[in-house]
Amino acid sequence: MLIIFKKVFYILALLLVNLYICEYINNKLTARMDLRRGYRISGTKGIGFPLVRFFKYISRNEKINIWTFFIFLLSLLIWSVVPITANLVLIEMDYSLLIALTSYIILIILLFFNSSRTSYGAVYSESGKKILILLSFLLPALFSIASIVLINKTLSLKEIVNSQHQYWNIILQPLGFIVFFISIFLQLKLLGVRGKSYISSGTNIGKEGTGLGKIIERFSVYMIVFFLIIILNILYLGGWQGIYIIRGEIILAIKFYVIFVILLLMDKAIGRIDSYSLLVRINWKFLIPVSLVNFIVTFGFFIARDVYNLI
Amino acid sequence: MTDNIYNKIYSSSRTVFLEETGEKLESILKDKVKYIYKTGIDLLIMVSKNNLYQTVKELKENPDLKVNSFQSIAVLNNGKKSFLIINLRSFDNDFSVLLKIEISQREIEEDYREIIEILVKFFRAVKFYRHKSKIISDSCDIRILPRSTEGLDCFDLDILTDDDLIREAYVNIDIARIIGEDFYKGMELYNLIAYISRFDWKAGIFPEVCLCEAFEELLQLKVTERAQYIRMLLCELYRISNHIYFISNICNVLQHDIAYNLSLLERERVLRMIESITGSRIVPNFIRIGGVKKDISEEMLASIRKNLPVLFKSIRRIEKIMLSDFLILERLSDTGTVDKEIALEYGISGPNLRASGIRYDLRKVKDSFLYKDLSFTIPVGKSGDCLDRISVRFNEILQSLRIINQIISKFPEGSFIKKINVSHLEFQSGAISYGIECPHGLFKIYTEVDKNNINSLVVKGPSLNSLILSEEILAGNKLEDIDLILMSLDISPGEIIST
Repeated sequence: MLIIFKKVFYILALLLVNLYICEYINNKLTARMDLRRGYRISGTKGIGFPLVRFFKYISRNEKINIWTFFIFLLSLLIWSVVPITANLVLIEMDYSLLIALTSYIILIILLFFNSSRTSYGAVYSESGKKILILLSFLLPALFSIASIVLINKTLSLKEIVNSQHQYWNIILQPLGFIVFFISIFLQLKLLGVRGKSYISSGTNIGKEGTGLGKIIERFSVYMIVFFLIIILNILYLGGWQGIYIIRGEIILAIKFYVIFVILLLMDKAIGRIDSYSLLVRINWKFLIPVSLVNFIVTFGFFIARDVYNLI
Repeated sequence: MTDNIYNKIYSSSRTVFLEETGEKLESILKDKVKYIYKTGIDLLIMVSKNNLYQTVKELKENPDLKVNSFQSIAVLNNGKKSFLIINLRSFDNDFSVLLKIEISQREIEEDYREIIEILVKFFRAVKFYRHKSKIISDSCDIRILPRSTEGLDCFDLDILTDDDLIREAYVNIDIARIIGEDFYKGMELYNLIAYISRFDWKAGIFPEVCLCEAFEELLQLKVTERAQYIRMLLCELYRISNHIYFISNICNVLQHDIAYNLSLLERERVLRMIESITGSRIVPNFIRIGGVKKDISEEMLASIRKNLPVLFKSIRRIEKIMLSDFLILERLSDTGTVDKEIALEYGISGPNLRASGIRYDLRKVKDSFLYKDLSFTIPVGKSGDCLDRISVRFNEILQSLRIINQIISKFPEGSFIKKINVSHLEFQSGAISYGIECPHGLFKIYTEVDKNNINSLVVKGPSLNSLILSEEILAGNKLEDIDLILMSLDISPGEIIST
């Protein structure tokens, strides 16, 4: 029992520290790219910035929506199934990949319910549209995950990592990786990696929601970002596999931040994609066909190797 | 016909009765009109309400005249009487007409409505001036209120939709109205010069220049070459500032942060140049009747010239960043397309008109400044979509830089002002209309003066026509493109207030 509490404590502490660092990087990097100096007042080089922002939000009174609370809860509960490292996982099971994906989809649907608290009809309809597009971006991601499952012959996230001890899945599935990366980038683009979350606020209204609700919302968006990056790591980049003498955890941390910074830079360099027709076109004319081809080739390979023993 | 009007007769446009033109126009219009004057760049025709239909029909359908473009309507209060001033234009013959109609003061609304109903038969754009708020407010699907972004903050937008597509859009500018009469009433001329740049605060020098040049025409006052060069320099600097601000606003709508911040930095550079000359950034109050307020020193010119290559490089960089992104190109091309015919019919001007493929620039057409001494080209678009409107403005910035370079190298010696006492001026009683090419389009002023008194003043900015046009072009586009299309028309809020 004690071990579980210890693990919960470690996971929460790790997430919070990560949150702090990511918020700091976010602030600094966006400021640099905006040709601004960024927030400098709190501490040396603005190290206390995330804390200051936290207190700023918490100082305002606002009622918390029930859906916001559910999102917060679920975004924390995801980490009970998803292994951050080999030992940092609460429930070890054979179908952890399925459960993680299901809870992610439920999280997105909850975000849709959350946007219903707005009093602007346009924002509500817009966020509804965005969520539907976001869900459609899961299709190519699911195809690429299916090909990973075929290769590694397991649904457990831990087993997937363990089976990459020789070489990472990115070498076997380069097309799948590209599709998956673009898919998660566009999902994060819709969610809003930095600053504004467009799903809850819409294009026309910049600021909606202050106080504790806002913090929780930001927190859950960050949790989704972390979840997607960790999943990408686990599926394609070898998770916590060490290289030579370097420990796996350090490699994981490096990979995590590199991907986070790349996502941030891409998000900053590309303007907001408002035209839904373009998003739908990218999805149905590029991502889904490529992922489908990738899946069919992998499936053929799987049948030839494992069913008929041809290769 | 039009050659006679503009070239043969009296090149300087004082309020004089034009015998030849009058006879020719009278032979066409016969006894439907009371009299014909030439006031500045327009012909003023006095028409009674009963003859309006036949006169407009003649103007539109006669092949010699071909008045095909509606420009503006304004109410003018001349102390005792009220008038309606309608500006029409023929782009084929380069010919502009002001119709002045008297309306009885007791039944102003009824008369106004009648006149509008007559004009609607000839020009679609006049629909905007109908009283329509009651009709739409009940049936509209979405009402978009003014937003915080500049340019979108002066009107309501009522939209009828079919799912995602806009079926009809109506602009309501009632919230941004002030009565023009209160603005100039009891104001001295030098006060008016200081305040008039409020009509267009995106490029504040142009209203001042327009007003001063109008009164100089009225006084038959010739300005020295040096003063004209200083005016040209400031006009081009403000043109660049306005266009860069426009680009930053477009980037803000597209959420392209890098280009947004870069363009704001460059605008700061230009505003500093302006500040070094005039002493203020947005509202200059620098132009005087007879010249300018201060002289420019050699050092200032040298420092401006030093900044030109830097500005050129960074503008090209912004252009490269913005217009090489396929996501942005995808978004901009084929949205909010304006055809040539529609552009002419709605009477838009400036870069918006040029983006539709019509090469018309008052700097080349009318020799008000000394632009004929300088070599520059007028950039023209092809299809008239948002992308064309943006790339035309990028090219105009580069052309303006070229003009500034030439101005500095040709800068003449001499005095910068002819000093006259403005408070004791006496004009010949009459009317004058004057226009200038401002960054949004054709900025026009119409005044009636009587000795030392300004009886009436009508300021007409080009942005209102663009806003009226947006009603037409928004239909058929998607809901998410509204902001982009409206922003790409470069609407200046001050000009809309002034109607």
